[in-house]
Parts: sequence; structure tokens; C-alpha cells
Amino acid sequence: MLGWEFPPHISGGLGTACQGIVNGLGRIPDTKVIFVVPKVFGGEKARNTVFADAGKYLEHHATILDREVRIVERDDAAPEETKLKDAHGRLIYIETASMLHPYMQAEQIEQILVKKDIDPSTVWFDKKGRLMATIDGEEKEVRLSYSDTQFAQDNDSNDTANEPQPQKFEFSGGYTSNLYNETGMYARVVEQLAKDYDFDVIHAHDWLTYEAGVAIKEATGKPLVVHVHATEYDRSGGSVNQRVFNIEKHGMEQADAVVSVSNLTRDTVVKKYGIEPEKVQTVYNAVDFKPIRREQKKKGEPKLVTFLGRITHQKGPVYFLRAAYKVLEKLQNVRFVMAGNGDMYHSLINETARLGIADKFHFTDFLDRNQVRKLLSITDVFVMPSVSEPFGIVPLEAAKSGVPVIISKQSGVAEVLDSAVKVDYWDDNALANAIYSLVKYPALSRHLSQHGREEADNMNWDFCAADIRNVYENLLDDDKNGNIEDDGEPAQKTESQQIQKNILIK
Amino acid sequence: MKTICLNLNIHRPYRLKKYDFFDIGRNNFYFDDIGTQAGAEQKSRNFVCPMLDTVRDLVEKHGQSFKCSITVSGIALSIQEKCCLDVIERFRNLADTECVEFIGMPYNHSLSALTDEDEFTHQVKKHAKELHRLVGVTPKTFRNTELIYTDKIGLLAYDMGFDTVLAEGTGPGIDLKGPNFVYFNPLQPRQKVITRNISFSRILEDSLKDTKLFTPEYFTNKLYDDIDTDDEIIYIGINFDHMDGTTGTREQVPTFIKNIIDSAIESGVFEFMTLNEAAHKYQPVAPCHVTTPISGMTRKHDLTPWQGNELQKEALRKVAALGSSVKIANNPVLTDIWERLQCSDYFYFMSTEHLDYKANIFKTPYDAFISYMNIIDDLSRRIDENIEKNNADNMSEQQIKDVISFYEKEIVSLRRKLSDKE
Repeated sequence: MLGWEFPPHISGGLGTACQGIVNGLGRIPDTKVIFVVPKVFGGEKARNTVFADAGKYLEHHATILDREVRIVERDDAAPEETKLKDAHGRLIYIETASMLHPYMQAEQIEQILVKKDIDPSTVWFDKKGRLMATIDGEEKEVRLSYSDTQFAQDNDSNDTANEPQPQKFEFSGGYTSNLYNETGMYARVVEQLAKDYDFDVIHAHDWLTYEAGVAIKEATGKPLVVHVHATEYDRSGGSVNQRVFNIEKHGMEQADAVVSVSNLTRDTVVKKYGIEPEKVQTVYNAVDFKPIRREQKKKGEPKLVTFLGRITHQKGPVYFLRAAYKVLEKLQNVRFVMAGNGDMYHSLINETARLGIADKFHFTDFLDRNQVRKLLSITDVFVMPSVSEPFGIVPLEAAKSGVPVIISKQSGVAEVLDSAVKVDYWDDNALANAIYSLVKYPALSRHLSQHGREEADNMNWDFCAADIRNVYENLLDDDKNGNIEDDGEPAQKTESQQIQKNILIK
Repeated sequence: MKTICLNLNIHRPYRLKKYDFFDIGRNNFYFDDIGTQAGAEQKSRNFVCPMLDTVRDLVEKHGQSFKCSITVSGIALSIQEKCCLDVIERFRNLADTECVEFIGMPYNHSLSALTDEDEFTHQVKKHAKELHRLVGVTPKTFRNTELIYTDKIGLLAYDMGFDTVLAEGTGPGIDLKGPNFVYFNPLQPRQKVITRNISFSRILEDSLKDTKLFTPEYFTNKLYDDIDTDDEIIYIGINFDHMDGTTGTREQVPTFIKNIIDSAIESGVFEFMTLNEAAHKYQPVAPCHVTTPISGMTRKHDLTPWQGNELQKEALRKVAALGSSVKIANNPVLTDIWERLQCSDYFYFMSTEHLDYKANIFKTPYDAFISYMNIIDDLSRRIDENIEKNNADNMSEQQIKDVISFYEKEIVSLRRKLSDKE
């Protein structure tokens, strides 16, 4: 399996999904997972300790094609952090040095480099996967962090309209093309690595690993599954990067099966990428989240409405802000909080100031997992107004925490979570209405809280893993069993849905 | 003889803590008291005390020939009273010599002159009262926070007994003969306006920051060369706010100042006076019209450092809006916090003009803004809780009056809205 950060530190991100799937598969007898992640070596000691106190493991380093590789073989379970006690499977966890980044677009990184006065055409990756640049005649590592995205903030954050607008950034193509080369380099390393291991199916998560998946398939002839957690259409908000699109399309075409996280995404894959519908199957994500106890509100304490996610166009933060403004016109005893960071962070802060609601609309910047738990434990209404959300695990985490949830109709999670208010992302009136109702009418919010929690509790990665295992088995069977679905009908409720329904009925 | 008026400004804000979203409603500590005290102690040891000692030496050496004026904000006084009593002691000794004038200003180094006249008056009076209690003087000259000035501000000060007011020598819409004269306030011709000589103030400030930059001789020579024959008064105002005593060492800066003043007095061309004396010595040459606020900061001399962007405007709007409910709540702790939060420095931290300020703990203006607004939210909740506790039965006479005046204001503004609609 070719995946991402593991264990994850971004809430609800791709890493969370990978972790859930690996753990789920780990609980199915006679399933072994070899999990390969690209990562920057060094400065990540905290993660190693996870392995150090987790029982039997074997760790060794290797160098493949001049890249460092760390291999951790474990007999018993996935990392301790996942609290996996009953795993039968065997996990081999491999980190290969690479500076691939699932959330930052290449252009964004290039922009950050320019802000840091580094010429993007002169940077390169060293064998530890670090991004290097020559600064003042010395070779130095360029560290990119999530807070760096604030450098890539919108230029319109400056409120003085009369000032000359900063020049539109022009791509020199240097770093960007390096990054695309890097996906290719990564593919070659993984291809080499694959020769040392025995496996039956290749499973690649999202576009940065598709090339690697295809390379292994070509080298070994083993069937390839690509797992679409998001497409370039979701990430870019319309201005599709042709190169990324091409990589995605190529990966899906070469794959023997495509797994999409929702029917919404399945539609995109079929219509925009022209993939045969029979090949694409929806397997919904699930949620594995340990909420902390809800805090009792003091009498008269304001209700809290929360947005949690990257502050980028894709997540629809602007609609949240507009709805907040409308609610605050009617209600005073309510507060809004926007947790996260992203390229629209500063411009949204300016906007709250301009609207005069900054004392009731708060920003927290990026939160870690524990802070997310804490925030959800004091939240009264959770809102995810995404413009385009392939799935959306965070609303399920909120539901598990007993928080009533409002989600946009343009999200995959809307297909599986019934006990939620669903609005069109662009309809900030409807959103304001829903927030107002949930704040004002406790009966409604109690209902959603209770039923939402029940639904979320029944969404289990084991079902998701069972579906994925089915996909594998169908591929490994002869071609006669190959067709998974009837001609082009949208995916019906899959097995996990059936099981979940059964549990619900019980 | 040309008159030189030297004005030393001493101010230091309470340091803010980073107050994040999760603190709201759970933690009432907005200020870093330990950091504030440590900073104040260090600064007074390294900079303020040596400087005041130098002034004392000069007064002893030259007798009545050397005089100067000192501005010290109420916040700085209150911090010094807590941890640097030796500074207060020195102020008192200097005041006793009668060669040093102390100048009035809003207690909290606030921008209240721009938002709320009543609050402004209250703070100026509070400052005068504290100055009298701690130093034993009653100020007659007024210098608003960061030299922010309009005719109206001058008039408000006059009504509180200040016959002299200080202003920046230039700014948007200012048309004067030159900085080196005494003017009068067109709204109150009896009030004298003295305008700051920006170029000499800057040169002196720069040379104190880096004593190797200019020699004392350079400075006095420039004074001879640049002052015209009909110029009367050279008002040099310098801020200590942004000096931390690390650049100019403990000995260098006082020696530098001493040398300048010695050579100026020995030349026989210059005399030193307090600002108030100078205002009485010279006849005003013209009115000084200032309708849009000017200030003593940045090259634009306007309000951009504190009110240049939406963040700063929103923060000031919100803190000012708490005023009426703070008065109704009538809780001394909350009132004190609210007054402290008005300090101009906190708005300066939110400037997007890339201004440099050493005491700033915030990485970006956005961080400063978020933290400040979180505090405002928390404070407003505490105020509301307090108001709920109070009711007419156990209110003091003053509280009842405040409530009445609050609602009277509300009624007036509502009537106005009504008449607008009609």
C-alpha cells in the first residue's frame, strides 16, 4: 500500500483515512499490509518513539537509488498509538525519503520559496528527501511547515484598495518541475523496493503515489488499485493543473480497479476522467475518534459554532463567515470559531474586522489532535460548508463527539450521514438559518446530536476494510468475476452499508 | 538667545500574554506581570535611572541655566511604583529643583481622545492626580499620547487647566511658518501651541540609539547652522519607548547628552527652558489650525501606526464600545483592565506597515489582533456577568447615575435614528 503520513497529525486528512484502512485490514485474518510512505527524514523523533515502546519490531535502514529508506517490520500490530489489540495481520511499515506534500500544491510551495527569497529553479532534493537550496553560497535545507502557507496568503488581504496591487506571481517552473520529477523519482525508489517483497495487490492513495503504483504494476504485473480521496477538481476549485490531472488520469486508466470515497467522487472520476464506470467502486470512509467528555456550559455562556479545516477556497470558509454575520445580526449570545490555517487566513481575519464581528468570531490557527478533541467538546454546532468535499471525516468526528452537524450537499459525507442538516455551500442564508435554529431550539439540536452520534458510532473502518478486501479478491479472481457492478449505475449501497443497516436495525 | 526645550518621554506598556481561543471564559490573565516587571526593572536600571541622574547632574552644574520637561505615562508610573521606586524617588527630587517640568497626558497612554471625550477627560485628570500623589506636581502643559493632536483636543485640555499644549511640527494639512515658534489654538486663543522640531528630535534620537553615529560637536554645529535668526524656540522631544539601553551603553548615552548640553550652554547662544516657561516668554505668531489628527510618529505624521488598517479600527471600536457597560458594572478590577487595554501600543502591534517594536511578542499583526479580540470577548463576558449581579437595590448613587446617563445616551441616539428615518 502506498500511502501518506502515518500516524496522521492533520485532522480528518488523507493520513487519517490511511490509518483507518490499514488498521481495518490488520484485523482481517490472512491480510498483510506493506505500507510505504514518503517522508522527510530527520526532526521527527516523536514518531519513532511510537514504535520504540510498542513491542516486537524489527527496524533497519537501507539505501535505494541513493535514497534513504527505513523499514519497520512488526509481527503483532500497527503502531501503539492506534490501540490495536486484536490484530492478526502483519504490518511492514516503510518510509522512503521524499519531500512530497499532499496538501500543498506545487505552485504554492514555489510561491513560498519566492517569498523566502529563494530562486525556485535552483532547489533540489537530497538523498534524505530534504529540500535543499544554495543560500549565500552554502547548501542549506529549506524547511516547509504548515505555518508557511500563511506566506502564500491572498494578495487582496491588504484592505487599502488604493495601493498598487502586488504583481501576480509568475511561475518559473523550476521547483514545480522538480516536484514532478520527484514523483517520478519516488516511483523508481518504490519500484526497486517492491522487488524485495512478496505481495498480491498494489494499492495507491491519491495522485502523488499513482506513478509509483503504475511503475510497480509494470514491473511485477500485479493488479493495481488506486484510491481516490480527492481529485484535482476538488483541490483547485476549477483551475485544474493539467499535469496533475494527467497523472491522475493515467493512474486511473492503468489501474485495475478504482476506489472512490463517495458517489460524488465516483461521478467526477467517471465523467471528468472518463474512466469506465464498472471499474469504479465507492467505499465510504469511516471514523475512529475518541471524543473527550463534553464540558458543561455555564448558565448564559454563549453557544459555540465551529468551522474546522484548511482555510482555503475548497473548504468554503467564506460562506461560514457570511452566515456568521447574518446570525450575529439576530443573536448576540453566540460565538464563531474558525480553526485551521490556509491561504485565505489573513484575508478572512481582515474581513471579520471590516464587518465589525471580530470580538465574536475567533481564529485559533492550526490545531493538533488533542486541541481538536478539546474544541469539539465545547462546540454546540459544527459546520462544514465545503465547496467540494470528496468525503469529509471531520463532521463524523464532530458527530461522534455529540455535536449537531451542518454539512454542504457538495460533500461525500452527506451521502452517509442522515442525521445532519444539509445545505448548498453557496446558500449562506440557508446556512445562517440552520445555525440559528440549532442555537435557538434545543430539541432540534438534541435530536441531531443523539442520532448523529449513533450513526457515526456505526461507521467503522472494519466495514470499509472488508469492502476493500472484496475489491482485492475480485481482482485476484478470474476475469469472469471481474464486473463488480451493473453497467454504469451509481454504486449501490455496498456491503458495509448493508452491515451498518443491519446493526442500525438491531 | 534661542530657547531650547528638551522633552523626555517615558512610557512602557503592560506586556500582553498570548491569549488564545481556549482561554476565553476560562482564564482571566491577560497581562504578563512578571515580564512587565522584569522589563521595567531592566530598563530603569540601564536607561531611565542613568538618564535621570544625568539630568540631575546638569541641573546641579548649571543651576537655573538648564531646564527640561519630562513626560511619564500613568502606566509607566504605576509599574514603577510597583517595582522601581528609585525611579519615582528621582522624579520627586527633580521636581523639587523646580528646573524640571512634568507634563500631562492621558493616564493609559490611550487613543481615547479620538473615541470618547468623557473617557479622555477622565484619564487626563487621573494622570494629573497620580502625578501629584507620586511626584508632587500639577502639570500645566499637555502632550497627548504620541503627540496626537487636533484643535479640539487642545481645547479639551485647556478646559482641564492646561494653558500650553504640544503638537507635531508638521502633518497632513498643516501649514505653519515653521516649527520654531509659539502658536495659539484657534478654538482658544489663550492656549499656546508649541510644535516639535522634527529634524533635531530625530537626530538626537538616532544619536542616542547609536552614540557612534554623530559626535556632540556635530549636533551643536548643526544647531548653529540650521537655526534661522528669527527662530525663537526649538522644541526637541525624544521617546524612550523604543530604546532599551542595549545599543547605547549605560555611560555613553548620558555622556553624550551632557556634552551636547554643556557646549550649547557654554556657547551663550542657547538657553534651556521648560516648555511652559517658553510658552509664557514668547508671543504667539499665528494660529495653528489642525482639523485632521496629526501625530509624532512615522514620516506621514498621521494615525496610520494605530488606525491604519481594518484590524486596528475594529479593535479600537470594540474596546471603546465597552466603555458604557464598564461604567455600569462599576467593578474596579474590570475598569482597571479595560483602561489598560486602551494603551496605544497594542494597536501599534496590529499595524501592517512593518513597524519595528522590541516589546512586541506577536509574530504577525494578525496574531496580535486575534489575541486582543479574544481578550475583549472574555472581558465583555465578565462585565456582563457583573452587571447581572448588580441591580438597582444594591447600587450606589454613582452607579445609578451611570445607568441613567447610559440610557439617556441610548435614547438620544435612538431618537436621532428615528428622526433620520422620518
